[in-house]
Amino acid sequence: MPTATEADRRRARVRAAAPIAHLYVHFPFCARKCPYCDFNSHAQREAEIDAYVEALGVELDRWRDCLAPETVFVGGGTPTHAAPHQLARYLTHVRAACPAPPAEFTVEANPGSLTPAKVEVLAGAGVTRVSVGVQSFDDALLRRLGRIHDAQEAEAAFALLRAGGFEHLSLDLILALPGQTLAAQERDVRQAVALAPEHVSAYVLTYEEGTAFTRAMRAGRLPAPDDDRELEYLHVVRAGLEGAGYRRYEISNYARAGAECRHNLAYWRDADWLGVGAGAHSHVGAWRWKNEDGPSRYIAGQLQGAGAIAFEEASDPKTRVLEKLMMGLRLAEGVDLGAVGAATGVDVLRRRPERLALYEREGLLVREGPRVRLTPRGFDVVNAVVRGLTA
Amino acid sequence: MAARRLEHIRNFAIVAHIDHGKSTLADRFLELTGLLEERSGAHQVLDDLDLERERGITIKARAVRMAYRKDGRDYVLNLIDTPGHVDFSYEVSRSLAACEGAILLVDSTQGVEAQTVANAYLAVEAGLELLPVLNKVDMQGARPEEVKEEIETVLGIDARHALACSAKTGEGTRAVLERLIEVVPPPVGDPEGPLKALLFDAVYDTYRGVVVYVRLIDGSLAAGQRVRLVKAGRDYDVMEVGVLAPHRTKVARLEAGESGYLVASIKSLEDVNIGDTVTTSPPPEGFKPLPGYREPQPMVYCGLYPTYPKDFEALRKALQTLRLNDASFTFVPETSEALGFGFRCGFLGLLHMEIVQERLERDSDVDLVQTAPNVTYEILKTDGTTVRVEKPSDVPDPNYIEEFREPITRCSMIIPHESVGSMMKLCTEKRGVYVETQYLSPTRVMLVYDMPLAEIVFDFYDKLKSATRGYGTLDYEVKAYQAAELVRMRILVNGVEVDALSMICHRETAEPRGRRILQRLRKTIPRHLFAVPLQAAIGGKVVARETISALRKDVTAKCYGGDVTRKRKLLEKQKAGKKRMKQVGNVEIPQKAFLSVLSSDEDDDAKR
Repeated sequence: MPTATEADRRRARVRAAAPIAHLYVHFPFCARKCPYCDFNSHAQREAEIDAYVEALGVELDRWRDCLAPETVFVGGGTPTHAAPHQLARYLTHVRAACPAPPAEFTVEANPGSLTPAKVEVLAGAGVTRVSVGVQSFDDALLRRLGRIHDAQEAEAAFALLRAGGFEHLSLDLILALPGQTLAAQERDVRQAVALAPEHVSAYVLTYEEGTAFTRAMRAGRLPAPDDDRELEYLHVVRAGLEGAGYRRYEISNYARAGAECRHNLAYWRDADWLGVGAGAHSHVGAWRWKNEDGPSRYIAGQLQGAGAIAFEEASDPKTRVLEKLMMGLRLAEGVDLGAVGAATGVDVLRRRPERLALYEREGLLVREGPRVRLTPRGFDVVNAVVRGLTA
Repeated sequence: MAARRLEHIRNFAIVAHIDHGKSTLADRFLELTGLLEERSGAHQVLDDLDLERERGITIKARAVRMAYRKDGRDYVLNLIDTPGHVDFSYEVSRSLAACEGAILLVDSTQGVEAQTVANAYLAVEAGLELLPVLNKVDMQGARPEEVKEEIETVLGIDARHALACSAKTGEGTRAVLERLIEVVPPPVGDPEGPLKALLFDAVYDTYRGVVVYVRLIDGSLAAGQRVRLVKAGRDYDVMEVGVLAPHRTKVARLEAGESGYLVASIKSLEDVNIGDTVTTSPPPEGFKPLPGYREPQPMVYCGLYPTYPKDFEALRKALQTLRLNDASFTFVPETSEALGFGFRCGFLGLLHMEIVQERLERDSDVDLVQTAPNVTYEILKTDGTTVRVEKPSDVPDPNYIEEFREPITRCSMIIPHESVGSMMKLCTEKRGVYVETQYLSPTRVMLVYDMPLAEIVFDFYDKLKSATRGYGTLDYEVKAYQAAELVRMRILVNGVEVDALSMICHRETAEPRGRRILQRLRKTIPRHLFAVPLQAAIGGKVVARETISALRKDVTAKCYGGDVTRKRKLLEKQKAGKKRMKQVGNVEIPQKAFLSVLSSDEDDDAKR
């Protein structure tokens, strides 16, 4: 448990950076745990939701004087897994922490969990944007992914949200699923485009440590990831979405002009944000910390103490450079290395001129003055580029 | 100063192939002469280093004095033990020079093997009386009649009266001892003359310093005497003389014809030379040292590097300690751009190298990386000078090379007859020149080839073993240096030469070897953000090439606020892995890539 002084120091640091313009809220409950998911999510714990909502209210209240959110993102878990009255209550807590209505207020939703009542609650709470976890339109693949919805429900959810007046909808796809064919992948993209979301997130399936998928893969029941295949699928999806007029503004994110997710842009641009809820991360200046993952411990920590922190760290200047490049080079706009140097005192342009020149020659990046941005080929190897530039 | 026959003394050795039972037979002799209680458990007294016992190889010779009464006469029998491997053939020859006779011990289940032949020849050359003895006759599969025939065919020794025994059970061993007394001539020498003794071995003792083993030819030796080691040019006061019975036992004096030891404040084995002559100080007028002395010359080299750089000093200490016991092994510090700081070590041969490495690992806690062995070359330069080349970087510019020479061995292989075809093919591949074939029996053949030592140290022994399903045995002796089409092959990674990977090889085998190296590099160097060409080149000519294609995918699909710390740590971990790599131009080469090429224990395709 952190001492009161640690919490005080943290608060003082946040207050010095206030007002914080970005707020993340975590809702860690799901109807079912998907076998590929390594997020902080818990199934069959509905009894805890009411207490959790109260704890969220306490934590939000504690940060109230530091917050002036321009963007809010409620993620999970499944934020819409709560009952309508629970959803309404915690969104009210969130809204109460914002002095003015946030310009972008996103809630993640699972198609299987959306009802007209919940959509009404979302609209009433000032939510401006809903991110729908569709993942695929192939029912067999959805079952294999452990999803509780099918393609028809995904389409119904979109209709419901449009009817509820939502103008910013995002659709999540997972690519290169085991057993998926390239043709099926192209079909998924076409069906996604047909729903006309303003924003699409398209992630290659990742086998994360500790998930059922990874265990199955190690045991030989699922095929091992294949870089060449994944790259092929990724390129097909990119071509499909760009052909339909979406711009790839981040490695895995596509949007109509002006419909980029401002909240997530804040992460990639290394802005400050506060995260509340179980397992939520916060980032202010050089500092990062994370709340306790377990809902029960989170609830107890918020209700009885100053909050339970899982870890806290301050990054040194070189680590800050790594963070800024690792996040920023994911964006089409790239990174202003001059600004990175000014903020950290580490001049990448001067430290690694030969690498920059080499990568530019290899067609991996483009330089425009102090700004560096990756080409599509560079995106495919972003980790290696970041390692090279920060070596 | 008339020479006398010293009728009661017999100096003899046992020559045999490894594992044919030499040490066991020696133990039986010690029992028969009362030096060892029967089955006391302290078997194989002659091999007192654990390692030698395990390997069944006696590396350091000893001289044991035994007393035996036969037909009412007391005899002094000196058993002078010899190393069992031809890496030590010079040492063997010096030990044999201290004897008048030898038991030629052959395992009657195995028959004549390559080292039986080599050691028997050495004994014949030394003018020794040979007594053939067949061992293990109690075993199933013993075929004494065939083995006798093999001895006669290959060695030209009359084996009709060869004795049969079982050193294990003791059966027949007394007869061997008694026959020995009959056939081995007594030594001839002048006990009253000036001291003349052959220094045939020496060991280092932590408490006494160097203990020198000598065979007295003329004169006598006692404590208090001042002696000179002729070759070393040093004088010493003898502090103690004695015999091994079987442990060191002080005696008042050693006389002509006898063997024993002397202790004389000699600090290091480097100060004594095997084969040197010991005489009085100053030597008598007109003194001539004994013939046959030679400087031991390392023929095989390899690099020994600590796996962890912090162990460098520990390794140096371990090497120094080892050298106290083995002056024939040499080491000098060297730096490899791939492996860091280590030592270049010289050995008499392959087995010697193996033994040294094992001993190092056993006696010190240092993890070792051993580079593939290479041999010592000779280069005749255009200015008429000759230089010895121990590593590829010593090779001068081709313009200054008149002749590039390599050591050639006379190589005897005893193999089952059905392997003759595959062995001849292998020998040809290894640039061998056929000398002769001899049938030992209808099923066993001795093939003799002249073969470059470089080919033998590379992977020949493994290939011989697999071609003969483990039955083949090999012996070789360096004969001479011969000019050959040798070249220095360079390895270039992304156009930059990697010094640590260059090698000397024959022009004809350069291409396949180069290709193999490049293939290993291709497997072990991770992909980069650009394609990395790999080339093997002789001078400016590329003889093999491979390409590591550019990395195509290394991207984290999803990276949001909450992932920053975890994903960053993953990148940092990958970066830390890169730090341990060697940067060559723009390319990062992991140590395992160097090891896959340099290391001797990764001969994956060699063992195909």
